Amino acid sequence: MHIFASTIVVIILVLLQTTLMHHLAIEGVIPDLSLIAIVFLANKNGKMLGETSGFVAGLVEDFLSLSPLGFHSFVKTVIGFLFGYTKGVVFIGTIFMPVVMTAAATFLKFLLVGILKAFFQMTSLGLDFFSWPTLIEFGYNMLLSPFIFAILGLFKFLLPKER
Amino acid sequence: MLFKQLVTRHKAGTFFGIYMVFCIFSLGLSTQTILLQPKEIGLSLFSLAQNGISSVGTFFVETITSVQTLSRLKSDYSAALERLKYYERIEKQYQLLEEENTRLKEVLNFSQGIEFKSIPAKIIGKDPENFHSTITINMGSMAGIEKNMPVVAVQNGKQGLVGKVAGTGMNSSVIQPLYDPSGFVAARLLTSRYEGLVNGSGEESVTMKYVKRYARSNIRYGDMVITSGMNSLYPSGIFIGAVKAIHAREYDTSLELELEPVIDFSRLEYVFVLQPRAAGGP
Repeated sequence: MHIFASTIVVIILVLLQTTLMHHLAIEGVIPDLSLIAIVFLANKNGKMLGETSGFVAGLVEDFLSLSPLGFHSFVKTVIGFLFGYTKGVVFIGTIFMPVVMTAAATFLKFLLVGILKAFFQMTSLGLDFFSWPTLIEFGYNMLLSPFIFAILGLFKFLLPKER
Repeated sequence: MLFKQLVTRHKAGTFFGIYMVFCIFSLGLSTQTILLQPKEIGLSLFSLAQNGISSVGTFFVETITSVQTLSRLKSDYSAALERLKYYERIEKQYQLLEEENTRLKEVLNFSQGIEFKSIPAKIIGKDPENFHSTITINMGSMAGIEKNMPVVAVQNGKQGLVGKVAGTGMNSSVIQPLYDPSGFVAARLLTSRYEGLVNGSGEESVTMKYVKRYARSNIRYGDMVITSGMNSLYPSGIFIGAVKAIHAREYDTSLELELEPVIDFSRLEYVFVLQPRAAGGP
């Protein structure tokens, strides 16, 4: 039930990314809401939920984009899994840690995309690490992270049960 | 038994492994374009929800803008009346010209070319990430849309090329726009008739490559570029864009023209998917 609710949340966020967020794009760049949510969910619930929500979010993105099946799901599963290790180790406050963790996740995302691009020879992929769109996405994700973390924190069903 | 204990103890790791195997396996197949079906099924499923969210969003945006629209409508109405009179005059001239044109075509035995039926569609979504530049529309295979069909739109009275259908679901399709870096279109300069290949650069701009170097003196800024129809994918004569910069590098044997697309993709709401008419069809 817990995993089911989390995956529904990340699916909704991906759908928002494809529709309404394009109205709020900066220079055509949209924030990665699902990535922020995966970081939050992985930090609160651990590896299992992090990787599963990451996998589902990535899979939906693969369905709705030109990317080959498995591309976004790979990136977001790895991020969800790795950020699951921060459970009980990194305690997120209101602003600083959400921003830092989102920045790290965005960096990791671009790194993994770069690796996949090279490994599977996806020459058509529009990725330039030091380009304005990349920097804008970094900034946009970091800017929104405290808000997304705060909103997701309001939903008790996304948090682990207190013992 | 030992295996079961191992799986139970390392549940997250086991699932991570399963997910990774799936991702890498499907990536390997997808990049060689073998695995298409699961992606199409997924597109069909999730585009339903995408359609719903897009409709709700459109409702709110349209409600907010409707107040402004009402005031603008009044002034537009009077302007439209003036234009109507003007167009009535034009229509008479047009009818005369059309009759003349038909007669001339018969005389010259001019080919009518390939006729296309268009399927109107509404844009319901765009790419979920910033790596690709896809557009999702609300019509799919049930409406007769197939992969690789050309997509056009009309803006400012001009029919411009939008791109091609990259994938179809039952009730939605993904369009690869003209400016996507992996897209190529055989093109021709409208006035000087030189040919080249239009390729996207990813940021709503396109470049025309492989134009003969000696064509430089015949190309002007603002010259229109159209589809040449040299490949079977795009019919000829669809506007692509206007020349906004000419790059002639010393070491290069061809010119590179930067184009301003006819279609302003940020304002695009509706498109038309061109479907070749079946022989003897309507």
